[in-house]
Amino acid sequence: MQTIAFYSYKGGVGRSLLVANAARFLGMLGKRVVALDLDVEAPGLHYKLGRATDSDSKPAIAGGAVPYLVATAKGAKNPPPLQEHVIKLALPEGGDGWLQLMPAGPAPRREYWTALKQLRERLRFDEPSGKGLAALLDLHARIEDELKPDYLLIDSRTGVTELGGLATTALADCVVCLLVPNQESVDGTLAIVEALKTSSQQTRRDPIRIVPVVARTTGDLASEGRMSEGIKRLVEIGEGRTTDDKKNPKPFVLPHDSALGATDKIVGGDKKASAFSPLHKAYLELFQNLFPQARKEAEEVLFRLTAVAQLRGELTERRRRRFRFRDAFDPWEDSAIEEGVVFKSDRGKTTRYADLVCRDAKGDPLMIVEYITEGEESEALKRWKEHGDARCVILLHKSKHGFGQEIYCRSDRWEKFLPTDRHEPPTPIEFQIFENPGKRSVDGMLEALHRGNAELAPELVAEWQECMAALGMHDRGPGPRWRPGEARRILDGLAATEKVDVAVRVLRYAARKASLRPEYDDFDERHGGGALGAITEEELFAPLFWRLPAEAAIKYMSEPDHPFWTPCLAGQRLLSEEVMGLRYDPLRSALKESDSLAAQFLDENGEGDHDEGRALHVIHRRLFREGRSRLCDDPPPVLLWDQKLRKDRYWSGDLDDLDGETHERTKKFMAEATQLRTWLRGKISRNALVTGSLLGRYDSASGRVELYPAILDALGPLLGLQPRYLKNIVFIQLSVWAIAHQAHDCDGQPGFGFAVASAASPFQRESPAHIALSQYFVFRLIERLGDISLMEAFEKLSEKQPEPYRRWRSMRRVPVERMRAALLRARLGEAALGLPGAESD
Amino acid sequence: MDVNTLNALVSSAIWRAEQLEDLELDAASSAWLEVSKLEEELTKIKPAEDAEGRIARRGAVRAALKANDFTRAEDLAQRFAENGASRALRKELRDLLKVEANGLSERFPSASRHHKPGEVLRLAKLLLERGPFLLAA
Repeated sequence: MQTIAFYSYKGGVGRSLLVANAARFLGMLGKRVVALDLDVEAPGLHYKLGRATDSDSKPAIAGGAVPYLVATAKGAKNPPPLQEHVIKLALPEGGDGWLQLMPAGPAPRREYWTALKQLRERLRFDEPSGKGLAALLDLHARIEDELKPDYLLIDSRTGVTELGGLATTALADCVVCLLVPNQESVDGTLAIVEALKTSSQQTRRDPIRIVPVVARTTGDLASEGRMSEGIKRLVEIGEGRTTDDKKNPKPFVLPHDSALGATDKIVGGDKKASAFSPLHKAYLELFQNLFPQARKEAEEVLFRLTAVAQLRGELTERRRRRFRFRDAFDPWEDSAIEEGVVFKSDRGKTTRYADLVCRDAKGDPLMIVEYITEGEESEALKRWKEHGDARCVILLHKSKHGFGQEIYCRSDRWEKFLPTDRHEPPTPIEFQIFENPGKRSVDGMLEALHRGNAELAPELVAEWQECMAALGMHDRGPGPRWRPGEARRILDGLAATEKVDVAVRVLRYAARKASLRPEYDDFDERHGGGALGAITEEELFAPLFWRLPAEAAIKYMSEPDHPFWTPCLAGQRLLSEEVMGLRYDPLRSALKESDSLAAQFLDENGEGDHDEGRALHVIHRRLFREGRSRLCDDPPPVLLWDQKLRKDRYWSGDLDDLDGETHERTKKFMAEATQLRTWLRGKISRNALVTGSLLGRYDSASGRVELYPAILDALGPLLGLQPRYLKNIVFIQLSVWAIAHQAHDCDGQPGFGFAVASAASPFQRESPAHIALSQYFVFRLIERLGDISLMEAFEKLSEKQPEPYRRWRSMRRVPVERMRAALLRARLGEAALGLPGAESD
Repeated sequence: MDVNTLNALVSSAIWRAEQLEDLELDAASSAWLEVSKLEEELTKIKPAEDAEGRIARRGAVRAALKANDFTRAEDLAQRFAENGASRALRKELRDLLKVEANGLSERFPSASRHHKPGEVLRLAKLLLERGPFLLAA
């Protein structure tokens, strides 16, 4: 039996808490432990160990060390049974040893203080007859002979007392001396430690191990000064921590932990990562040295807790990504993670301990984390296959460089766990979106996105950025490879999104430059970096703007994230600048217009009112945002005129009355799918599917593009096309028209002359030349987008449109520069006509 | 000091110590220690071969034991044995010590399995002299 006394020169250093932790730690490691409370003037170990056994109430007992010594003070032929004075404490599940406590007595009940008074009267521990000492030695011997523990841990009395002196000099093989980092405590402890060192020679006992421990530290210990010298001396006399600097050993240190100190929570032997704190870690480091028989186990526990605590931290923290501020996937909630769970097999014969269990909202286990020793992998996987329905198992183990983790996943409960190449544990949503959470592939993410998991949008945008950004990463060591093919695959996959809300989310993330971490956005270092965001807008957002469902592009443009939000115009710029050769900057135009309007508010002194100018600007921005494009449920003008013209040929009523009446009738007509399809078939057969005023409309007065979804939805099947592609084509056609009208050419003029069909009269039509030109640019844009589905839709639709819409076929080989020049002429800017500029007048 | 004076002092000291012991007073120990010291003085005058000398030696050791000072008793017995005590006297003194030690062993049997009674008594004396942790000089 090893007897270890825990002593402190001053009280309040956490001595009893350390004894309780050490006792439970050893018990959990399979050791047989007796804890003896000899702090008879202020006993409290029964409170601490009461909590150590997860019992809130203190142990109910009449006996204890004081009543026992009273009973045996005069010596007894039949001493009282020891069992009447000890309590067997239940250890938490998983503890293989046992723990018994001999409290000082039933303190703070009155009978305890009576017993203590009797003890003082009957037994003096410094009695020269040796009876006091013999009584104590007898108790010590009986514990060893009858209870046969591996360890006896004594909570010794504070200060300089006979009982404290005997517990340390006469009973203990090892004395743990706790002190706090102040001069009084250090000096007092030093005196005691020096006395203990020499006492073994005088008492002719084996030398006593002395382990000084500095408790309740709140920072690094001072390295100079009298106190520091005192602590150094303590370590020289006793034992210190093993450090690399063998000449300069350090004392064991227990940091102050107000949470543990306030609650007296016992963490010794606890395998739960949440119990892991700096104080718990310090306990384990001390126990490794204090209990040589349990050194290996203590090391293992320390390692396990460190590994599990680190992984737990990773699970609950949002990950930082290379190119973004953080991972798009939400991490695990604390409440979803349970620690220290024992699983029983279906037959209930075997159990398996999981360090962490991550559960879904219903409480079913999704992911298991277990710390294993080397070579246990296959056994662990086999057991987890039997013990639970979890789809992922993370096995933590020791490795050369700390600890390693292997992640195993399966697609459903009946399959084997297979290793994955993941380096990070799956997040909760990955269990929902992936059949096998181990396979976090781009294809898997795209499939999930198409199913409606919009959370994946930022993740996929970031993947695209990583594929494209590699070029800029050369000076940061090995980075991701440049993978344009993969980037293209992601772009095509994103473009195939059908769900409008998901598509809007994709557009928002592709346009969000701010989501990039600036330190990584050094794509174009020559120009101060920041180009990756711009490239994302140009290379990802712009094509997606035209390829994703048109409803998404319209919704994106009209639903602000916040009041001062302005939409990304990269899509329009691609069309106007890259394809049509025109400058398109509606915000700048709006600013100019608002400035010129504000000039009208100049006062007599020629000074303007800034607030009014600003208000005008805001109105412009709102008009720009809200009026740019929309889906329109109204009947298209062509249909309206068609209905009007069906009136009696000799009708002579009022046109305004006719408008109201026809509008209602046409709406009813559109609601009748069969009628509408028949009418559209007629248009198809006559190749009369004009874009303007039938499929959509560009209103040159407001600059708004409108689509007629009811018509397009009905028309799609008739043409053998998916309506979404048809809408895309019409959206592009009308946008080409809008840009041809609104964008500025090289002389800074908008295309005032680009005629548009008016809804007010069936006789006003677009110029065939303009139609042919715009169709050419539609073709060029679709060609540039490289979207086969769009091209097919464009071809099929144009076949059923009037002749000018089909003329692009004959112009497809004409160089784009020539067509741009033709466009400039068609827009009839002043410079194009050769007129002198306004300023030169 | 002459023998007669010492004898008178010893007699009165023994009477006093016995009375105090009967009354179960703590002062009995110091009274017996006083007896032991007076007997020790007598041994310096009376040789070991002398009957009175033998009685004084036995008395010094016994009184030390009565005073709960086992270490002193042991020291005295050893000194007397080394300074011409007969074999019979030596045995007598050893028996006295043994009886005392056995008394402790009988009262605390578990402790005696791990510690010799002499060790216990020696340690007790040391603690008495030097105080807790043997801190006192």
